[in-house]
Amino acid sequence: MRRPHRLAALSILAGLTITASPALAQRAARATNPQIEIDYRPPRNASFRPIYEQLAARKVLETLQQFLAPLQLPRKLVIRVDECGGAITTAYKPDGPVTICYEYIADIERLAPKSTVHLQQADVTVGSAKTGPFVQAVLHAIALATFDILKVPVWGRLDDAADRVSALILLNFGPDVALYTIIGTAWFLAANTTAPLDFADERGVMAQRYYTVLCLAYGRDPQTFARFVAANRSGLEAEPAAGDLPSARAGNCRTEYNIEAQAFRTTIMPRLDQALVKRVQEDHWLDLRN
Amino acid sequence: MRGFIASAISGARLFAATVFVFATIDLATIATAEPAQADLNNPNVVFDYYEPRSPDFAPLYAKLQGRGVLEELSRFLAPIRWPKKVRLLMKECPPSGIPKPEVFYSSLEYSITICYQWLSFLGTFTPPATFATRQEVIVGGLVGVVLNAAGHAAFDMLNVPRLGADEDAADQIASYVALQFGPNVARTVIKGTYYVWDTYEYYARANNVAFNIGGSSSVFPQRKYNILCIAYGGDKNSFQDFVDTGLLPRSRADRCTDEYAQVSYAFAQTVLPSVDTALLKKVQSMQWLAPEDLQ
Repeated sequence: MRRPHRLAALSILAGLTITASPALAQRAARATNPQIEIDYRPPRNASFRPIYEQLAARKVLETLQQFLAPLQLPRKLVIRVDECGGAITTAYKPDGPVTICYEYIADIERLAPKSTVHLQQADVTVGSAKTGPFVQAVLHAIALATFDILKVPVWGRLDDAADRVSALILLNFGPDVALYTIIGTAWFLAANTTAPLDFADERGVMAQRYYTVLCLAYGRDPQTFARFVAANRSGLEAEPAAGDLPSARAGNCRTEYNIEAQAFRTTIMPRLDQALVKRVQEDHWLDLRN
Repeated sequence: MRGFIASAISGARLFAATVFVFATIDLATIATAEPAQADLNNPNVVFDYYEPRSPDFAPLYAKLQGRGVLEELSRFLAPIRWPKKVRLLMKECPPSGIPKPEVFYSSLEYSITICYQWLSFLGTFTPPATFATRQEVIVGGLVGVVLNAAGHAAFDMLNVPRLGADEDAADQIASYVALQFGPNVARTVIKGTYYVWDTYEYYARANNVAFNIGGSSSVFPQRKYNILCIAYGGDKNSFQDFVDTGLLPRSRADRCTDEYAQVSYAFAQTVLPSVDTALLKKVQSMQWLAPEDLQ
């Protein structure tokens, strides 16, 4: 059975929320992507109603439309927030919409800490634990759609490639955004590692996804993510801790990141409007103040 | 054991592979194959047999060299337009301490190394008779793993973009290439490679060794499902029994057509432009496996 692949959505409460009022003003000048259509589907399950209302109120999908402005798509792509019949759904099917499931958002909410958690590697704030996995999941699904619509040649497992592309994107908005979203993503993936392992599935298990995201982060920015490798910590903290990137993997993360970045440059970058990419990179998309 | 592998290799045919071209080496009929093989020389493919330090490997070294195994392999790599010299090496390797095939590509020296030790390990294989003969899993396992290493070489040297994990990509290209030479070759290589990963999985479980979930590669059981899925997706008729017997779960099998299509498209877009298709056709048209190889 294909394992449920819930696509997440924004912990609206966090997610691609717009920053304070100056940013709102700035948002008005943002370009949008005319090929991206958005659709908030009201949930039938009343428990999802608050999520729906907050997403719509915060214009999360509209923000996503702007964030994706550089992506030159030859056809329309619908990004929808919807109920997915429980846990079982897929993020993206060829020719279909990208669906952000209320169930997934609820999961992110459920697994987020109630207050900042101090780990040996980093602090996990409530905001990062909600925003990171939401943004990662949305980008993951959009990556799958992009592979399909732009006919991108993909070597390696499709979902793993989508994970890597989404991480790559998050890592190219500066160290603060990278740390905030990657830490949150790592928290969510780590929280799911207790699920039964299904090695026959076409996707990696959660723990593998966790290590891959961290590895790309460490490869891109070994200073910011240094504490995820035990050898980089000192004193009592130098002892290996749960969630550490294995040193054997860490040594090759720069190469892993470079391979990914090169593949992205070759296959996807040519389909991005470079001027808009620059504008998007310079903009402020996340409120990092929690 | 070592004697077994040596005889297994020399007694019949050794499979070799290229990233896109692969074939078995007919060691018994090398002379008769000469005219066709002469067309497959590529000056950018060179080889070397390193003399092993350990006397245990001396017979294997002599036999492989005498049979011209690497010479044959180099011909099979010929259709690729390698931008630099790729080196095929047979040598005794230092113990890696890591349970994985000692066949690897080195990007530092553009070399594909096959270690004598791993050939010995292959000789320990004892598949159930209902699954395959020893000859099948030895030949198929060797070819599958060499194809994987050749895949790494091609990815690196041809600057092939890999959005997914490198090792998964190499497994995909190895399985894909194996399927391009007819059902006999495909079944032998896929079965042998499946058995390689199944054996590593067995040893890990038997010794309570945790799978390397934190590594960059898929773990043993995942790798065996991944290669089976590409095979089933590309040729349902030849691999239906893997699904019927439960070796490939139906839940995964349902998606295999898509997985194969993904790989086929990636190959056509990123690798095929660097292949001399005329040479490729020559290699594909040759008879690589004889019935006696599979006994």
